[in-house]
Amino acid sequence: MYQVSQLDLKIIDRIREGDREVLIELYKEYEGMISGYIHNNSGNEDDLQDILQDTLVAIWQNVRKPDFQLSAKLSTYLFAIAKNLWLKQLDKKKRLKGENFITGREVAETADIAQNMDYSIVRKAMDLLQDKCRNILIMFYFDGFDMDTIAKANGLSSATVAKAKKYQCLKGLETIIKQNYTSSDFYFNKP
Amino acid sequence: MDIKDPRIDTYLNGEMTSEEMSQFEAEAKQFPNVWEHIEFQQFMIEGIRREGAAELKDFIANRITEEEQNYKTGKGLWWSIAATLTILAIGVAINYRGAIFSTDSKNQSMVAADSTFVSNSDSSIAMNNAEPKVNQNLQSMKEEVNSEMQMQDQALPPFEESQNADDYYPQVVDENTTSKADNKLATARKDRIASNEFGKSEQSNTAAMYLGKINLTPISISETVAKYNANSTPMKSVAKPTSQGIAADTTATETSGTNVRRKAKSKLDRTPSKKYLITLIEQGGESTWLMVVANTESQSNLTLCNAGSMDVLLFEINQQLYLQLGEQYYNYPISALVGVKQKLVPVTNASTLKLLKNP
Repeated sequence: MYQVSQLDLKIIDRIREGDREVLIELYKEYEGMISGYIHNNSGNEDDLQDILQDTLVAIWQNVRKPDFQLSAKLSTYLFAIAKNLWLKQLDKKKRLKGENFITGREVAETADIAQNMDYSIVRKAMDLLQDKCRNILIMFYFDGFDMDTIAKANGLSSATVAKAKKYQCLKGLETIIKQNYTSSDFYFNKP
Repeated sequence: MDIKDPRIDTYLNGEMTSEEMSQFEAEAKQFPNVWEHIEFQQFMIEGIRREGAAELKDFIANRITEEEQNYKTGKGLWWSIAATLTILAIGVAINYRGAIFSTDSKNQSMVAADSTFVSNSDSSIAMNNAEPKVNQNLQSMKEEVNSEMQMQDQALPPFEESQNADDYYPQVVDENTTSKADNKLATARKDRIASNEFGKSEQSNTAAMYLGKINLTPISISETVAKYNANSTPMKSVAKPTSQGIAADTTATETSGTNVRRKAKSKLDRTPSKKYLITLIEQGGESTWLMVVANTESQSNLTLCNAGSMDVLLFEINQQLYLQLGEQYYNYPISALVGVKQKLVPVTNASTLKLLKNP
C-alpha cells in the first residue's frame, strides 16, 4: 500500500479540517508545474488560473469525501486532475469550433442527467435563501461537513437542530424554485 | 413507496452501496411521483454543489489576487502604514524594516519603535523642518536594523537582551505635537518606515479582548488627519495619556470610517493580560507568518511578516492571541517556541469566531 508522506498527510488533514487556506498554499506551490503543462498545450494564462482553481476545488471535494485515500503523491494526484480538466476543456473548445470530436465517453456524459439540466436555476434560487440556509446547504452538500460542525458554525444548538434546519432549507429552496420555474425550465433537453 | 421513505435521504446522501443503490432505483422508478421527487432533489443538490464550488473558486481567485496585489503594492503599503501611524503619534522609528506594536496594560499608552524610537519632541523637531536629523536617525537605525535582521535569520535573541527596554517605551506621546507634524513627517520619508500603533483595552476570560489595530490600509493622509481629529477612535486613544485615552474611546463612533473599529466603554476598563510588542516586517515571501522573538509572562515580542495591505487587528481570548487580517481571523499560539516561524492558523472554531466578531 502506498505510504503517504508526512507533508501530504498534513495537507490532507488540513483539508479535512476545513482549512481553505491550504488551497492557497497549494496554488502557489503547484502553479509553476501546471503552468508548464497548460502553456505547452495551447493554453493561456486565463486557462491556467481557471484550471488551477478547478483542480483545487476538485481536490477539496475529493479529499473531504469520507472514503478518500491518497494512492500516490499529492502532487501526482493534483497534476492528474489538472491534466484531466484541461483535456476536457480542450475537447469542449474543439467541439465549439465545430470539429468532429465526439468520443464514446462524451456520449455517455451527454446521456448523463447532470449534463442536461440547468443548474443556474438552483444557484439563482440560492441567492434568495437566507444566508444561514445557503451556508448550511453548502456546508452539507458541497463541503460535506458533519452536522455537529454545521451546528456550531451556524449558531445552532445541536446536530439534530442543524439537521432539521437543513431539511427546512432544502424545502425552502424547492419552494423558491417551483414558484419561479416550471419543470420544463430545468432541462435543456427534456428526455 | 412514497416521498417520505427514509431510504430516499440515504440514497441522496450517497450512503448506499452500489448494489443497494441499483435495487433502490429499480424500486423507486416504479413510483413516478417518487422518482420525480428524487430527481428534483438530485437537481437541487447538484446545483448546491456547483454553487459551493463556484464560491470556493471565487475564494481562491480572490485570495490569490489579494496576495499578488499585496506583493506588488508592498512598497506603497508600508509607506502608508507609516503615514497612518505617524498621525496616531504613537512613536515612529524610521527604517526599512518595520514597526513595533505594543500594548501596555499599565498606563494605557502605547509606544512603538523599532531599534530607535523617535520620541515626542524628537519627532516634532524632525517633522517641522529638520530633515538632516531624520536622515541621521535613519542612518543609525538602518545600521541597527541590519544587524538585527542578520540575527533574525538565525535564532532570534530575546528582545530584552538586545535592547534597552527603557528606550523602547518612551513616554506617552503628546497628541497635539504629533498631529501637527504628521503630514510633514510622512512626506519627508521615502524610505520604508517603521511605525506602529496600538490600541488596547478590554479583558475577560470569556470575551475577546480587542487589543488594537495596525492599519495597513492605504489611506490618504489629509483624510486621515481629519478623521482622527473629528472622531476619537480606539487608535487615537492609544496615543493619549491614560485618562483621556479612556474618555476618547467612549466616544468612538462608526462614522469615523471603515478603518475604525467601534469599541464599547465597558470593555475599556479591562486590561490585557499581557503586553504584545509586534514588529511588522516585510520580507520577500508572500505568505504571512509570525514569530515569537521573546516571551515572558507579562510580555510577548512578536514579528509579523508579510501581513499585506489590510487592517491587522489584535485580540486576546484566554491569553491566546488572535489576529484579524482583512476578513480572516487567525490564532497565534503564544506558547509557540521562541524563534520558530509559525504560519498563522485560521480560526475555524465557531464560538471563537463569534467572540472575535463581537468583541
